Amino acid sequence: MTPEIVYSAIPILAIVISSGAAILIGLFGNRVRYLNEGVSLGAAVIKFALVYSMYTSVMAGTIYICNPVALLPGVDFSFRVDPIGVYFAFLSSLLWIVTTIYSIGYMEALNEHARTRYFLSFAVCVASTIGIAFSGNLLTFFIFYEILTFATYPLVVHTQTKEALDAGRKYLAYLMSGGIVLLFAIITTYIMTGTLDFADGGILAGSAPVDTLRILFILFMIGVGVKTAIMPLHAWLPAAMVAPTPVSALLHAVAVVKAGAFGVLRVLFYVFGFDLTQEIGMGPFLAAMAAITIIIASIIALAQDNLKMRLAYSTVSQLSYIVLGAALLTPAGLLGGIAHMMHQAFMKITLFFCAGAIFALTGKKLISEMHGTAEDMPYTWAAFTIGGLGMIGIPLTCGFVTKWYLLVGSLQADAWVYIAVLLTSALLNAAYFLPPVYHAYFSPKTVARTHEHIQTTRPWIRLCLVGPPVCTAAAVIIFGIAPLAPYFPLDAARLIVAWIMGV
Amino acid sequence: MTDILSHLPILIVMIPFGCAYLTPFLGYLLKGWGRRITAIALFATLICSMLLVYQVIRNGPIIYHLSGVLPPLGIAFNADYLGSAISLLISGIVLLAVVYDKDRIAGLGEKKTLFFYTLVLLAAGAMQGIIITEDIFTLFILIEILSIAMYGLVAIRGSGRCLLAGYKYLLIGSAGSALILIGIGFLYITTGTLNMQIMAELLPPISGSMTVLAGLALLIAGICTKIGLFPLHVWMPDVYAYAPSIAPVLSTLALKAGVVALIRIVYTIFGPSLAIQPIPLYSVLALLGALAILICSVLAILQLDIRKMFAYSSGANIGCIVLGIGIATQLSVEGALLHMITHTAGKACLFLCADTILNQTGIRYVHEFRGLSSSMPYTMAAFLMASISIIGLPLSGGFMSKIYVAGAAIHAGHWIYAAILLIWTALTALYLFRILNSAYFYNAASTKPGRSHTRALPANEAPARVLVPLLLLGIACILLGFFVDLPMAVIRPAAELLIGGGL
Repeated sequence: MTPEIVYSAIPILAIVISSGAAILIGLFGNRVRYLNEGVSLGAAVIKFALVYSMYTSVMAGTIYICNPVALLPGVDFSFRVDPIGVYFAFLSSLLWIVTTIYSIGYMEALNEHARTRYFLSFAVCVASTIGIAFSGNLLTFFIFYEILTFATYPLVVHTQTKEALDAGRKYLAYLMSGGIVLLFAIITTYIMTGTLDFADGGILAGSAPVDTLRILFILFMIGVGVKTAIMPLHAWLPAAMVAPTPVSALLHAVAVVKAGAFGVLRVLFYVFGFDLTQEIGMGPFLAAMAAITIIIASIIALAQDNLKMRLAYSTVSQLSYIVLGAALLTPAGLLGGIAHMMHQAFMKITLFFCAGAIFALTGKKLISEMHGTAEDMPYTWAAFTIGGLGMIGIPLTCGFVTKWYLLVGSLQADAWVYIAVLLTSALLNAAYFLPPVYHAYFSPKTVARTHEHIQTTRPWIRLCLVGPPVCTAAAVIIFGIAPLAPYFPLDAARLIVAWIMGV
Repeated sequence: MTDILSHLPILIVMIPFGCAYLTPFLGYLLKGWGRRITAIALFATLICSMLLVYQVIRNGPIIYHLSGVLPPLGIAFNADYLGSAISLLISGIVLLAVVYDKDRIAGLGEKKTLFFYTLVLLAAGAMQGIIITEDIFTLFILIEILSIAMYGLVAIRGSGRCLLAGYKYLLIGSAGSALILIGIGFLYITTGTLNMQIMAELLPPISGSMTVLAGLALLIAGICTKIGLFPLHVWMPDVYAYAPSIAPVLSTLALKAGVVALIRIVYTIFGPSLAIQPIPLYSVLALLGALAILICSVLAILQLDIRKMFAYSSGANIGCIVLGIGIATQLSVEGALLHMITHTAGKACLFLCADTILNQTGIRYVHEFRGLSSSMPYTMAAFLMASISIIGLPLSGGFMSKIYVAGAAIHAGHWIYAAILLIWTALTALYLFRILNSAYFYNAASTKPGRSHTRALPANEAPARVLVPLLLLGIACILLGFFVDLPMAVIRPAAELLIGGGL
């Protein structure tokens, strides 16, 4: 497949829109009421339109390239919109709209402080996520990757409680260490190959002995693995649960961990290349790490009573599905992994939105307090149920689609152990998602402890809180019923796999 | 016009020197003009430096013979790429510092303020001379003038810790000067010349002699005292902590002038000899640099007084520059020179911010920074931007220069140095984040973090005249990351000249 290459500034424009929003918010957010919210929403919509226009044409075989300035000799500040990049950008900019709407409702409902800082950081996060998606070489990727790390920090410590600041410290310690390892790997790659550009067949082939490449592979995987929360590098993610729920959505679905998973794919297939990854034989090692993470994180999730904590460990587990799919190095596995990037995002964001809506409207955080709440919040719990069923992998949800391909991929790789892992994980998922649902619908209401009950009379706030999860839950069903419809995740993933495998 | 242009190398030295004598008289006659005269003189110097850089880029290095007498008898100034670039840097930052400064410096009377500016001009002229002189004895004289001006600037309050710091500086500095003088003596008796170029030609055949080696050792030790290379950094913390007003900024610049002198010695004078007579000078420098990075960073983490913290941070940064010089490849020298520029901009901005904060609120310790972002938003914005560059977060000047040096280390096979440079990033982040964290995420009112909205401190933002230099420097720190090609246009030929002439 020979792509049509277009030199265009649209990729930069998509980043500039969000950065511009950040600057506007920074300058005037404190002075004009609702400017934060309005600018964020406007930027989100415009950016989605830009990304969508690229999405359709890239899927039809175009590649956008833009190299504004040189950073190092032979390394430009470079943007390249290829299928996998635009896929990630599409995912995050679409969910960004939903998250913005939800954020507005959440901040208003809880009457949160420091909204200018909040929306400013959010805008920077999203700009850097798009930067990560569109970056054309490792250095540009790294720059946005690190900006994302630091822009998320104010969001994690948003409440400024001791707990939040501790979590923030942990978050930075993990992610900065990862960043340093990643930078070391990147500089080494540059010195060894003289280039950092992502190329379809990888750039490292034949540049060094196999052992060196293996060490480099491990360094890269530590670098991007921290953000992907592969065990034992995951501890920051549950700690970061102290952040407001929209931030959790950002961390778990829209940007941060997805940037890590995207980084894994980029490194595997565009730096090392499919063939080289196979040649140095590190796939099984990565797959084993992912499998361990899937099982252990699920077991830890079982023990959590705080709903958000349970969701956090579930994310740790689910992210490793993506890594596992990629590390199997089979077409179906890869397809499942890439599709899961989008599917998991929709399911997890639904679950988080629901958890946040329950907290914002009733003040309840613990699963044991939520008995019988489905009566008051039927839509929220319906959405939660769909998300949970998707996570388990029940047919007619999108979770089933990916799990199916991952299973086929494991068969292709002759790796029976991963089939067992995936099925066990499905059981564990059922074990931790079904009880809250059951109790919400069928258990009698627990006597509310003296919680600060937040009364929200304004219906638009309720709409902002409940609307987004209902929409994303609907998407979970739609992706599950018609996975192969044009432009849907699985369809796009097929194209990406074709590119990576060079078919 | 061409007549004047051919005298540029001497003008950048003589304008500050000449005005240094005028300032006390004119300032005494015209009340409050001391600072303005200084600023005008420095502005003229800046223009000359700009013209010099322009000429050097267009026509190559300019050699200027004082009074037209040729070496070996006469004194020559060699405005090469390195000299002109650092000259522009120094005159630019001194000017900004003086523009930033007040007419009446706190704690100094009117008369002493005039002396203060006289010393500033003397220091500025001496620095300009040090970086372009080709005569090693002139180098010594100018280093002495610079040192004496610096002792005066530090101790000018004439009381308490200022005096003590100045005294400490004087003792260590004089020892350094003595070493330099003896070293020059040794080289003079063996070669019979004081001109660096001629000395470089005469040295190789006799470079094995003990006298020459002893001379080299004394010179290096003397210069290292002046630039505060570990383990000779002990004078820096006190000087930076108690020097009044803009003296720390000048001290940062003086370090850079000293580094240029070091470069002249190890590359210009001894480069050809070292190629024949391999003594491990470069590896020793690299090792000392790496040690300086690690130890000074750890010491910086332990500091509570932010200016002492910055002093140790300067020690670490000097270590990075010396490491780049010690690796001694084209790439590493480029990195070291770039780091000189980015670090000077960043550290100057930090010291000016620290001074502003001290003047406006009396704050000098880390824990007092709580909530400062809301009472001094613009100062803290400049502080933030400079910190980003000093830490080396993408995308900023400091990031690019660190990448260069680390890349050069890997390129030369020194993996361990690259790792130290990257770990250094984390160490720097550790101490600067502490300040930023309390400024941005703690509230001023309570000693504990919380979400109260009350602000104990009144809004005490500095006036615009002060903020403009701060923000200019801060923005320059960030923009250097985007437009690294600009300084590179001068740095690359400078490094080529040094490495090509030397090795």
